Amino acid sequence: MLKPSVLTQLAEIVGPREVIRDPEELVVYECDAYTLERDGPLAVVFPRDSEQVSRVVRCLHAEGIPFVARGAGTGLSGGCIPAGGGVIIGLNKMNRILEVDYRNRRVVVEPGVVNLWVTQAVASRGFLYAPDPSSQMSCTIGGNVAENSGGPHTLKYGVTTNHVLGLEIVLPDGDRIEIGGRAEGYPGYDLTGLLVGSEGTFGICTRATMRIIRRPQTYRTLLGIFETVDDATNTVSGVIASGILPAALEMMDQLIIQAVEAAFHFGFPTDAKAVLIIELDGLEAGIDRQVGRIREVCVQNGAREVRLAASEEERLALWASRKKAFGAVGRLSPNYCTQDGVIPRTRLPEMLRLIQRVSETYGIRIANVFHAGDGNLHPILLYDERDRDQVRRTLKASGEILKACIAMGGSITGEHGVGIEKVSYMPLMFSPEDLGVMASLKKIFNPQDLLNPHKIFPDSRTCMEPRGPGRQAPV
Amino acid sequence: MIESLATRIDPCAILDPSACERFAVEGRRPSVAVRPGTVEEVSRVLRWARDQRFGVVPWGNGTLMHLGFPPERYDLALQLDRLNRVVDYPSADMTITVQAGLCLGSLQRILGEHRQYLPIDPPNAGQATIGGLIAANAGGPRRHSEGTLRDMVIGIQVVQADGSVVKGGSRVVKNVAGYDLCKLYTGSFGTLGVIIETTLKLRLLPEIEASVWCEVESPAEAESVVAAVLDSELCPVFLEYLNGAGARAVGPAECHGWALGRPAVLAGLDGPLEAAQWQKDRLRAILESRRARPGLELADDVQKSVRDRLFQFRSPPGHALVAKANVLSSEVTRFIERAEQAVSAAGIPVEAQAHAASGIVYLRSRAAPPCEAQVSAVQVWAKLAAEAGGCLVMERSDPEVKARLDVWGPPRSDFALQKAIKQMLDPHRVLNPGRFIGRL
Repeated sequence: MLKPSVLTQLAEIVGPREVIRDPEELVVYECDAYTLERDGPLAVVFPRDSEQVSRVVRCLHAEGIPFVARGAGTGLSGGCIPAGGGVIIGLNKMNRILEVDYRNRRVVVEPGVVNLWVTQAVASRGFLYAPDPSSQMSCTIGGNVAENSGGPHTLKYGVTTNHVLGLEIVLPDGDRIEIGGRAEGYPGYDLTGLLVGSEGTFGICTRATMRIIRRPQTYRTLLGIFETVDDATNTVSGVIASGILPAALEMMDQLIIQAVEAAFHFGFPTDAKAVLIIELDGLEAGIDRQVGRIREVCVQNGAREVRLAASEEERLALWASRKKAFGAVGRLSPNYCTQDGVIPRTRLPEMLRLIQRVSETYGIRIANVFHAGDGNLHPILLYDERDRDQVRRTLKASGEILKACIAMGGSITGEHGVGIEKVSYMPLMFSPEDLGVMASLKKIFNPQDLLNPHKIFPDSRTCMEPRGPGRQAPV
Repeated sequence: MIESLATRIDPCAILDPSACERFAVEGRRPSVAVRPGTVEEVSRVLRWARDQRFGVVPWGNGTLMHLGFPPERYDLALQLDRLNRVVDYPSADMTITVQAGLCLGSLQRILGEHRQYLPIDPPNAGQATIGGLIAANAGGPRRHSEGTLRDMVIGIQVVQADGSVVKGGSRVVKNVAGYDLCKLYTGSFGTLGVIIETTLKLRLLPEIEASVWCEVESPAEAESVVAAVLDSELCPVFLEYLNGAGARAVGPAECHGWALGRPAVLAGLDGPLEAAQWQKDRLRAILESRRARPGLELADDVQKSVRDRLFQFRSPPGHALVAKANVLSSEVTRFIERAEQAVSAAGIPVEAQAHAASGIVYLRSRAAPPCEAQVSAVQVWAKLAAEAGGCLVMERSDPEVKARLDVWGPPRSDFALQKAIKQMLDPHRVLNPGRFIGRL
């Protein structure tokens, strides 16, 4: 419970209507899109500007109350769960695009701006904001900055960190600082690079300056249809080796194809074992030669059919199906959990076979929809949370897949973050010395650990195996 | 001193004292120079140096050693060129893991066999080591399309000042596990750790290279061409602006007769054959619509030498003064014009190159005006850079000038954090003491 005096102070800063304290309303804020673990906030406050964020933080800091920033709550690793209790600072009402500068290809936005709004705001002038996570219709820029979000088109265009030039940050003691800026390459340590992807543990982003890019002149979007998963994964390697860099290279397996087809009726062949979405973009001149080459690679690797999106509408429908794939999974199972491991992309055939084996060993169905070109897997483990044994097997199967990723020189997370979910895997990927440096950095920014505690690194609260659903607080 | 070091590492790794001269930085010489052959030896040397509170300057091949303040203490030069192994090159993954002492020239040759490359174009690319380039986050014209090393380093290993080895990132192209230590060490000028190994994200070599040299009447016309190209569907790999003197220094010989010191915009239109051709046509139309002079497409051999001079611009032999500014792209031509005007009375002729789309500007002068004049030139340039949205870093000058100026410009609002990071990771200030921003 928050002391009444603190509630009064918060209400004075943001206005009484911008403070949520009713337990029934707070339930919504117990978790993000990773639902295996939950913890309720003491209150949620919605500041309107960075000055208010700073004052809220100053107040909580003075009282020694933990706090965490939250955008749309679409995160997939529990990054904005108030672990152990605390106040959530909701940034949704700071949602203005402050400036668009086409000549310098910059936008300045507040953290609550939804990812897709940026592209929508600049589309009429032929520009776009490149990072395009699947949740881009609802996820916010602040969350993207915290998680260093990716998306299908990162294969060619990079992730959030490659597009952020400067940030205004409220530090955990309430101080406001500017890092980076509107120009490129300020002298000094690259704090912008360090802040992006720090999962909201260094400071709260209250303003971001980002690059926009010219929309490519043209797109060619191919759908490769395969009889076996192996054929599809071999094609991925073939495409990467072909001397052509696609803008996106995505894979969906049969379970996903069927779920997506049932939900959106795009026209995916539900008997295929896998499909690849391969998108090329760039100048019209010469692109069809590249399309021809990609077709050849698909066919050489046993594609049953290669379709080319005939129109922009068809292309957009294809992408809509892909990006909503996670939503369609609800048709397959009452609950699911998504993994985010990364491996060298040439080892996909091996890895997909391993996932199949894990699925059989633990009796857990696993669907695959992922950024194949980057080697960024998203195995979706299907389970029913009412069955405790299934939950246990799901967690074990997840762990086995992540350990295999590490063994291949990869990572436990490509774009979803460690959050609370993958805390216990960090020591498998990093040595005590590596983690020591990270811990020292955290101590510099967040010395009392009031901002988003118990995330990323194992500590006494989180180093135990998650108990799974029904767990109301971290162990 | 050397005896106590010789018990810790292979004595052959300790260079003859006469070699110390080679490792002079801004006129200062170390007492000992070491060329360790293993990572373990790097650790031992650093631990030893830390215990003695020595100042250590990590050294690749010394191509960018003029950057920064002179070291406050300089006891030991740590040359890493023996750590030059390719650790792993899974070419089909388009990544490579190498030791930091490998030089860029060798790296590009290895990658070229698979039609891949690392898309940076720093000066002295043949000799510069990967570790040194990462420490300086060195880039070049292609940063407009490909970014800088910051965007390519996906894994890094460093030896910390206490001798411990730390790694960040991994060997895969996408990874958000833990804090992004790659970003922290890239561009830290060897003040936080000694880079010993890295994994890099690679690109495919373009099918063809094409460059078009566009002479313009004035800086204003250059800005109009740059703005039009950036607003068009053209996707140049680089877009450079050169003021009159800069154009004379870089430009193709066949231009010299009629150039008469006119400024120029140089567009790199590399890519697939058809795309390059389309871009050349489109650029011609843009120039025509602005009534600018027609561009000159550079023949292959000319193109190569122009590009070499372009990439080398920042680190020219025989220039007394070199400064780098980061400003907004839209301010580039005006900034350069004002920078020239500000020092013309002092008789300092300025050659300028800009990565026009990225806003990175290099100003250089062959003449060595009196110290006073240099100091006031840099001060006025820094003021102009601030007005154009950025900062000015003085890269090269007389040591006397450097001693009187803040080489990196004034600290910004995040300096307390910068200082805390240095304090935390190198508490005894062993690594490059006093060389970086705010004399960290």
